[in-house]
Amino acid sequence: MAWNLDSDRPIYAQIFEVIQLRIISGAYKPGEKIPSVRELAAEAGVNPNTMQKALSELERSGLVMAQRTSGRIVTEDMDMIRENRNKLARQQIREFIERMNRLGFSKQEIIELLEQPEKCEER
Amino acid sequence: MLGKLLKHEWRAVWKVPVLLIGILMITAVIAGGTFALPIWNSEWVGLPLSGVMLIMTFYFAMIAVSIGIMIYFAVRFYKNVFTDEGYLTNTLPVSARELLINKVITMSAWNLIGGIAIVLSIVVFVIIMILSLMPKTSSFARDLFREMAHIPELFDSPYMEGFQGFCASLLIMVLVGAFNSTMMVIGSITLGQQVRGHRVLGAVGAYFAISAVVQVINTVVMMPMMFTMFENARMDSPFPILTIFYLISSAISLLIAVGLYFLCEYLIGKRLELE
Amino acid sequence: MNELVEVIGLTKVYEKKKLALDHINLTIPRGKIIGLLGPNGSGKSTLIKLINGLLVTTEGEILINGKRPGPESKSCVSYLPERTYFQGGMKVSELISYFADFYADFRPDRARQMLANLQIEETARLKTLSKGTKEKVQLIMVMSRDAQLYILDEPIAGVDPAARDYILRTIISNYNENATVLISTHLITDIEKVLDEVIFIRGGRVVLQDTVEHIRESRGKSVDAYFREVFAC
Repeated sequence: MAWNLDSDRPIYAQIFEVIQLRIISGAYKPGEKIPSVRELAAEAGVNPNTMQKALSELERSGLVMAQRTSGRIVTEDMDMIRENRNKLARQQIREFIERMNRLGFSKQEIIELLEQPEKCEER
Repeated sequence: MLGKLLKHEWRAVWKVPVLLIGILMITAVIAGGTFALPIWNSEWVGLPLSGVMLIMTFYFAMIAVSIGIMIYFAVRFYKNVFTDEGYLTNTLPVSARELLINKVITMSAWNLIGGIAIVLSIVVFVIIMILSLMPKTSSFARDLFREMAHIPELFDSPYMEGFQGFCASLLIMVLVGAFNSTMMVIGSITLGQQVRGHRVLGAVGAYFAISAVVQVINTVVMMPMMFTMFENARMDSPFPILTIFYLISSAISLLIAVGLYFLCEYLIGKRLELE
Repeated sequence: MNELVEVIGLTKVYEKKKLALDHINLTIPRGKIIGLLGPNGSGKSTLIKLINGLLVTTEGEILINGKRPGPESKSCVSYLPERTYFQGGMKVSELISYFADFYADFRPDRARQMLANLQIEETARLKTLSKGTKEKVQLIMVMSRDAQLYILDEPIAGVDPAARDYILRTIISNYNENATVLISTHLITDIEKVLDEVIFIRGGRVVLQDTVEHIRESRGKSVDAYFREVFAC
């Protein structure tokens, strides 16, 4: 997952999403230690304080946990990861349907298209 | 910190003057060696002439070494303090005083070493010359040693009165001279910096200006003394008068050098402007 | 504790009456990465040189840890000028011992590690290195100090994107935790994500000092876009 931090939204929010995606996709495995703030900041080319803020948000969401010694690990709560995954999926679907509606597709037509994309060309 | 500055300065500068001195010694040996060559009685004028040329080369090498060392250190000081290198030199956590003392000590020391090397090269030249002439004239060595045996007697003559004092004053003048010529160079370069836009030209101008001022001071101080002394002096030996001359001249040089030093310390410490 | 840097009524007039800085007031806090932004000739380099004691102030004052620039401030400020300042005849290894001797906060191991990563031989003489490599060596030396203030004058001007990424990564992963990094540049796009705060400077005056997040939130645009707006002529 590359760091594409180009939109005008706050940078820490964009970082949050990248790391969230890494956890959901299994790039960072449950229980695994994630790289330090400084390493991640250098990798992403962002300010360490910004990275710190994104990681604090991730801690608050429960996806990562601060360890007593040092560093952070990915949560081992599979339900939570699954829930995050589903939440993101629902969000993607909602956005997808919205865009398709704007193109003039009804819900039924979308379902048909999803099953047989080649039908699109027949119309 | 001064010790560290000296260490790194020394490490950076020793190669060039040592190379120059090495070349000087080689020319001294070659020039001395020409006396062994069978060229001096040649019919064709070209051969003795080329021998003379070789000896002249040695003479020019002596001048080249003293000027070469001076120019090398002048350029290094200018580059190291006032150009791109100055961005590092002047952001070291050392005071302007330490920085300047470091430069002055190193440059004075090498001026002195250069001077000693020139004297040594003459000694080398003479020794080689004698060794070269010995096989040619069988009586040469004998004559030479006989003459040398008379040298101690010389010191007993009234003409040599005050010779030791004279030597001491000469030594003082040489030491002060090394410091003075260093400060002349460093002073002119630093003063030249005040001529923004024409800093090198400013340095050259400053050098001539300082030299002129020194000349005037010397003349003003020396002239009246010279007259009074020649009137009162017993003329048996020239050394007591020379001793006084050298001491006064050293005192003037020292005063000027110290004055230039404090001027430079102020200019580098308080008025530094890197382009 | 004193502020890291305080600039009070700072004015600099060059020869020929050229006004470079006009009564500037600034406070540079600890622990931040700060961009000193402005077009060419706006006074960025003049301010930086004054902080490093390479120019004489005309009026006003600069205090670093409460003291004027001098040997003490120089021992805790790590400065990367626009030019390469090496003595060409030096070897890389000699440069390391030079820095280690003069700067108590210099970490030779860190410098050696970074040089090894770039496959720069320590036996190489500095004058034999390419311009780009020399600049990297200089950055490595500067970032291998545990300084309180790093001042980097145009570190990414005129380098290719790969070198720019290397430079930014080197800065982020090496600066001392509680230190401040002051980066001057006229190329904001490349550097915006790295900054906590920005100082806009134009015609020798400070136009704005604010945090990047605050500018993004209150103006609804990136600092780069806002910069273009402020400096549009």
